[in-house]
Amino acid sequence: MSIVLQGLEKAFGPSRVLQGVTETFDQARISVLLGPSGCGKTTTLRCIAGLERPSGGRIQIDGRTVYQERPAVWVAPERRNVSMMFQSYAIWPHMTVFDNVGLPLRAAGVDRRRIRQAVTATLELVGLDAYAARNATQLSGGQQQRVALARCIVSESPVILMDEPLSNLDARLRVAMRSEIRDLQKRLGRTILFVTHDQEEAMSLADTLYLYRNGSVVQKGAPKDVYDHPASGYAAEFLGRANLIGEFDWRSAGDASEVVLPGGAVLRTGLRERPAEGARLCIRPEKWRIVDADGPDVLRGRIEQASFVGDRTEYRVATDAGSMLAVQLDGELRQPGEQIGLAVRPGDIGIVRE
Amino acid sequence: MLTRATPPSPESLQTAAGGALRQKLPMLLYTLLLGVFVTALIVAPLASILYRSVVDLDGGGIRFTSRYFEAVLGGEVYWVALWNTLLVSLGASLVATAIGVVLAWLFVRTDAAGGAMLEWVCQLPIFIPPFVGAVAWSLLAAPRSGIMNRLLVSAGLPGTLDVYSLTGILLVIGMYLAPYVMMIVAASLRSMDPSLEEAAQVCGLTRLQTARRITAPLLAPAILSGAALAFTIALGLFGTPVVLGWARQILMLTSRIWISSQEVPPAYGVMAVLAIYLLLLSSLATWLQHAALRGRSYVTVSGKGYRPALLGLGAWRWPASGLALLYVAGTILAPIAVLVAAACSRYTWSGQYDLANMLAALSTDDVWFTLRNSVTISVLSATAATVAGILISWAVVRTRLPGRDLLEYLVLLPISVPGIAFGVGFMLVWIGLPLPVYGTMLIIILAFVGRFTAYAVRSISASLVQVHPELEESARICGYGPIRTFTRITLPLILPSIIAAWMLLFSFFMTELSMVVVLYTAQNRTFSVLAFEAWNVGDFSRLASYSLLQMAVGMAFMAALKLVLRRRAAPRALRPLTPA
Repeated sequence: MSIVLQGLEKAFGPSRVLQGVTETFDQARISVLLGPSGCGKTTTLRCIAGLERPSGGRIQIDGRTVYQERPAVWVAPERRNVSMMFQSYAIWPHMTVFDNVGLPLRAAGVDRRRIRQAVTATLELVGLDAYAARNATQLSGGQQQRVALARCIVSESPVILMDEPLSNLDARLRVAMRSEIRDLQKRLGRTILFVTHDQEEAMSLADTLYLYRNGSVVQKGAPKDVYDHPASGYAAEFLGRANLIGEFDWRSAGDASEVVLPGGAVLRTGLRERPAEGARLCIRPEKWRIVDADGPDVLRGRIEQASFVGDRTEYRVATDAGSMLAVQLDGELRQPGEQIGLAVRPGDIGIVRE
Repeated sequence: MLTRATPPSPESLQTAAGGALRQKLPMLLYTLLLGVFVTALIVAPLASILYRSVVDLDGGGIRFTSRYFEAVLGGEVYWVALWNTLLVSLGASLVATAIGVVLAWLFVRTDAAGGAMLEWVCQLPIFIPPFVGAVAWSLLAAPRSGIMNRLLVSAGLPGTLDVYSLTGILLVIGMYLAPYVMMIVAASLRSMDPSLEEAAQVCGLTRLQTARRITAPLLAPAILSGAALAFTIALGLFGTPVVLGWARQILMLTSRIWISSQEVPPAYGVMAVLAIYLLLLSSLATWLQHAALRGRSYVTVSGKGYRPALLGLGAWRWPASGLALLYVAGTILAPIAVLVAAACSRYTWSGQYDLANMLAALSTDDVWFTLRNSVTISVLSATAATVAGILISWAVVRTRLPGRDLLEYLVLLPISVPGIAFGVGFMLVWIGLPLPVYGTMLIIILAFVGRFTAYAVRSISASLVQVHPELEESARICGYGPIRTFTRITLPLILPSIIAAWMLLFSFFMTELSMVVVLYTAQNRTFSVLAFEAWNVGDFSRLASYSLLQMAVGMAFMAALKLVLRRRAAPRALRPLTPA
C-alpha cells in the first residue's frame, strides 16, 4: 500500500508550489512531511487525496494510478479509498458523533448492522463510546479530534492522510494524541502521511521524515539520521538548533583532522576529507561541554546570558568564532560574565553544505 | 472614600451619600431617557393596538367590547384578506428563496462570468421602493394594456400575461425580496469551512451526494432565515399588493387596514384587530424560525484558508450569467425603461415621447411641498434614530445597566412588526392625547424613529462590539474623561457604521409608504403619499415621473453607501433591513 509520486508538479497561477516531487511513501509506516508554511507539504497531501488537481507528473496508490498528466488519468477523491484528517477536524455539525463516524461506511453501501458494529468498535477504540448519540458540536476540541480519528480508522482504508491535525490542540493534549496515533498505527498497520510544521512532533512520530523546502523534498530519512547528519544549514536549523561556523581552516592530522577557528582554537574532528568550498561546521548546542580548564579541543568564551528552563540550562557564549548556544543538562549554574571553555568530541562536529 | 477602617462621622457619611448621588446622576438620567424612549415610541403603540381592539371609546366612557373581533371574525372579506395574505406571503417567500439560493450559489460557488459585479447589481432591487416596482410591473404586464402583452401580440403570440392576479402579485413581491435571501445564503456559503465538504468527498461521497448530505443541511439555517425574513416582509407590504390587486379587488390585510382608515369616521377597532392579525402572523414566522434554528449554531474550528475550488461551468459560464442578467432586467432595467417611457408620454402609450412632459410633472408646487416634507422628515428621523441607536447600543454593549437585555429586546421588536400595524398603533396613541402631535410632521418622525431605531442599533452595536474595551480603558488611563474617550476614541472607530445607518434610514424614510399611509393628513403629506395619490386617481405619466424620482433617491443612496463601505461586499447593516 505504498504511495508513489513521480515528478509531481502543482502551480497556482505563476507560483509553482510543487516542483517535481518524486518520492515513495512506505506501506504501513508513518511518513512525516515537515517544512515551513508554503513549502508544498499540504499541497502534496491534497493532491494525493484528490482535492487538488496537480499540473503534472503521476500519483500511484498501491500500484493504481490515480493521477497522470499524459495520457490523462484522474480518479475522483471519493474513489481513491483514502481517509483524511483535517486541521479543522471537519466534523459535520449537523450530525451526531455516530453519524459522523459512520458516513464512510454508508457511502460505501455497508449494511446497517455492520455499520453499527464497526462504528461502536471504533468509538470504543478512541474512547468515545459513551458519546455516540451526542451532537458533534457538543464535544470539546480534543473529543472532536478523536471523532475525526475514528472516522479515518473506521473505513479500513489503508491510507490515512493527516493535515496538521494536532495544531489546534493545547500542548499537553498534543503530546498525548501523538503517542496515541503511534500506538494505533502499530496496532492497525495503516500507511500514514502526516503533515506538520512542528519539528518535535515530526521527530516523535516519523518512521521516515521528508523535509520540504520551496516545493521539493531536500532531505529524507529516519529522524535520528536527519538530526545527526543534516545535509544543509536549512535542515540543521529547521530540525533542532545548531551552531553553524562558516569561517575555519581544515588540516589533516594523520588519521584524523583538525579545524582551526578564528582566534586560534583548535578542535579535533572526525572528518577525513577536505570540506567543499562554502561548507560550514555544525555543532548541536547539547554537544558542547562546559569546562573550566584551558587546553586542546577547547573554545574559550564568556557567558553573555544564562537561562534556566527547568530540565536544562541554556547559555549564550561569546567566542572569537562567534556567538555559540550551549545547553547544559546538569552541573552547577554559571553566571553571565564568567569565562568558560566549550569542549566537543571529535565525532560531534558535523559538516553541512551552504 | 468609603473604605476607610474607622467608622465615618455622620457629616462625612452625608457628603459621601451626596457624592454618590452626584456620581450616579448622569447614569440615572441616561437610564430614565432610554426608558421613556422605549415606553413612548415602542411599548405604547403596541399596547394601544391591543387596548383599542377590545375597548369601545365611542360612547364617551371606556367599555370593554368584543364587537370589533366579532365584526372581523364574522366578515367574509376579512377571511378572504387573511387567506390572500397567507397565500401571497408564502408564495413570495418561496419565489424569493428559489431565486436567492440559485443566485447565491452561482456567485459564490461557480465561475459564472462577471460574478462579483453581477452580485453587487443583484442587491440593488432592495433599494427600489416596493410601490415603484409594482407600478412599473403594472405598466409592463397588466392584462391587455401592458407593454409586454402588446409586444407578444405584435409578435403573433398570445399576450396573456396578467400581473393583476394572485400569481402576478406573489411573483413581483418574491422577485424584489430575493436579494435578502441571496445575501444571507451567500454569506453562509462563504463562511462555511470548505474542509467539511472535502472530508465528505474523501470519505467516498460523490459531488452530488456531498451537496445533498453535507452542503444542503449546513445551509438550511441560512435558507430558512432568509425565507422567514422574506415572509415577514411580504406580510407587511402595502404598496405592491394594493397597486397590483386593486383592479380585481384582490385585497390583503394591509389593504383592508387602509380601507378601514379611509372610512368616516375611521374604523379604529377593526384596524386594531387587523393589526393584531399581522402581529400574530409575523410572530409566528419569527417563532418558527427560532424553533427551526435552535441548537444549530454551527461554530467550527477554523483550519487553513483553503477556498473551495469554484465549479467550472465551461460552456455554461455565459448562460449562467445570462440568468442573473435576466433577473436584473426584470427587477431594474425593464422597470426603469418602462417608467421613463411612461413619464415622457403625454397620455397612455401615445407613442410620442417628450422629456419636457416628465419635467413638467416634477415641477409643480405639490411636488416641491411634499418633497420638502419628505426631506425634512427623513433628515430629522434618520438623525434622531441614529442618535438613539448610538445611545442604546452603548447601553447594551458597554454597560451593566439592569434591564439592558429587555431594552435590547424591546428596541429590536419592531423589526418583526409590519409597518402598517405599527402605524396604526402610533395613530391610536396620539389621536387620543391632547398634545398637538397628530396631523403634524412630528407624528411621522416619532413613528419612524420608534420602528426603525432597531436597524441603527443593529448596525452600530455590531461595530461597537468589535471595538475592544481596552482601547477605551487605555484612553482613560492616559487621562481622557468618559466624554472625551467616547468622542475621540470610540466614535471615530464606529463612525462608518453610524454613517451607514444614517444613510440607509434616510433612503428608506424617503420612500416609506405603509406607515405614512395611516398617519398622514393634508399638512404632513410626504412625496410617497403624493405618488400614491397619483396612482389612486390613475394619473399615468405623473405617477411614472414620481416613481422614477423615488427610485433615483434609493439608487443614489445605495451608490453612496457603497462608497462609504467600500471594502465590505455586504455590510452587516444591510442584511436585516426591511423596506416599507
